[in-house]
Amino acid sequence: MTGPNATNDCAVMADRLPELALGLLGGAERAEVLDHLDRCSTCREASADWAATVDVLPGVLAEAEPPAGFASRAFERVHADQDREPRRSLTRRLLSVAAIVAFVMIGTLAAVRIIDARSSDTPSTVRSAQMVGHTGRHAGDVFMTLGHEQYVFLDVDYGVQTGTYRIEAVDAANQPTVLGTVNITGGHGAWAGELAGGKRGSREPPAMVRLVDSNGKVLCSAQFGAVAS
Amino acid sequence: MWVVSDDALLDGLATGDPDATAAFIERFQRRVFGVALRIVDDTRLAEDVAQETFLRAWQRSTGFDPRRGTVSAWLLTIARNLAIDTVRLRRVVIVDPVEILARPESGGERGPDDLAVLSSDTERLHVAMADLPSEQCRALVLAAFFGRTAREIAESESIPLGTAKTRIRTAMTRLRAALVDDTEASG
Repeated sequence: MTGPNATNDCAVMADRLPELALGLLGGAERAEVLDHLDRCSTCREASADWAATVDVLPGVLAEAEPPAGFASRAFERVHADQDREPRRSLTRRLLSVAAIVAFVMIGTLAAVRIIDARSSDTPSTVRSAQMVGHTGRHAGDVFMTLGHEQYVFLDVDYGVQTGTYRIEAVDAANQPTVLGTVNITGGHGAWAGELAGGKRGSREPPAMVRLVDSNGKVLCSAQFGAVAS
Repeated sequence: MWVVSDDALLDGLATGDPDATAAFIERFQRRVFGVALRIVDDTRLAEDVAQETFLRAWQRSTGFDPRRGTVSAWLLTIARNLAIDTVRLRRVVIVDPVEILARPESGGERGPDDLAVLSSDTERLHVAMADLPSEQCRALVLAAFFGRTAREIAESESIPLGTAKTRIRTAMTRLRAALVDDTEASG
């Protein structure tokens, strides 16, 4: 955070961070602290430290032997829910993402071959990176093909509120290029499109791909290289 | 004997694999039930809380981020929060909150990740909490395990609000210092 009141604000907020981590703040006080954290990376880091301390606290409570048959009853309850909401295995999810990327690559390759048969023999490479929010939380993945066919595939898993967001590719000099928009519903959304601004034939990815809301706030980003600050 | 890591078991739970789900519950049931029982102080309610904890773990399993902590800490935090919700609903009068800090029993299956963590963070926390002045320890336990706000603690302990806040903050600062000091010493 910057500005003349930054130090004072941070000192006031620092006193409230332990209570925030313990989940004891409510209403306006909580909103005020969260608003400050949104703007202040120093306090955000301090808040994460307090949260980490609170996370290990339950470990001091003694274990206890559950009643007979507890494990079976718990399993039946979880398994019934798993049957209702079958989830694809992580491998299958990755394969499905890879299949979409492959589909885009194959489609592009075919189109390029039709348009310009001479330039289609350069193979593309695929790069991927996790999208991470400002709290360090995993929010999705970005895949891109580089080389002759330059496409981006973005898959948001969770942690982003429902809405429409701008997708930007940022170069090493911190210059953004808008790739398109993605609609997020219930924490999920996906987008595939051309890597605008990319130099055809280049194998260098943009330094970063990020999601930006209508106020220009960066919600999460996938880092592929260093960005000038 | 080769032991599956906590992270691998959680991955199995996340995919709905029945064997991994059963193994996950088997591994963590004593710790989850322990957290629930110490906080709600009722076997039947503790079982409800513990079952709900495993259900939430499955539902949120894809959201687990190993960079933010261990599977055990993540799971026990779910149990703690559910137990606090239960205690808040019942409006229980807590006579001696520090009683819930009895030392752990031995036994129960532990994953390889947890053995290292147990010998470090948990033991350090026990020592640090034992070293806290009793009024700070009470305030911290009421806040961390019974979900009492500073205002509620001020009322129940008959102290000013500012004093309640200071006790919570000072206790937390000491615990954090104990964890950080030890991390730096071992690093």
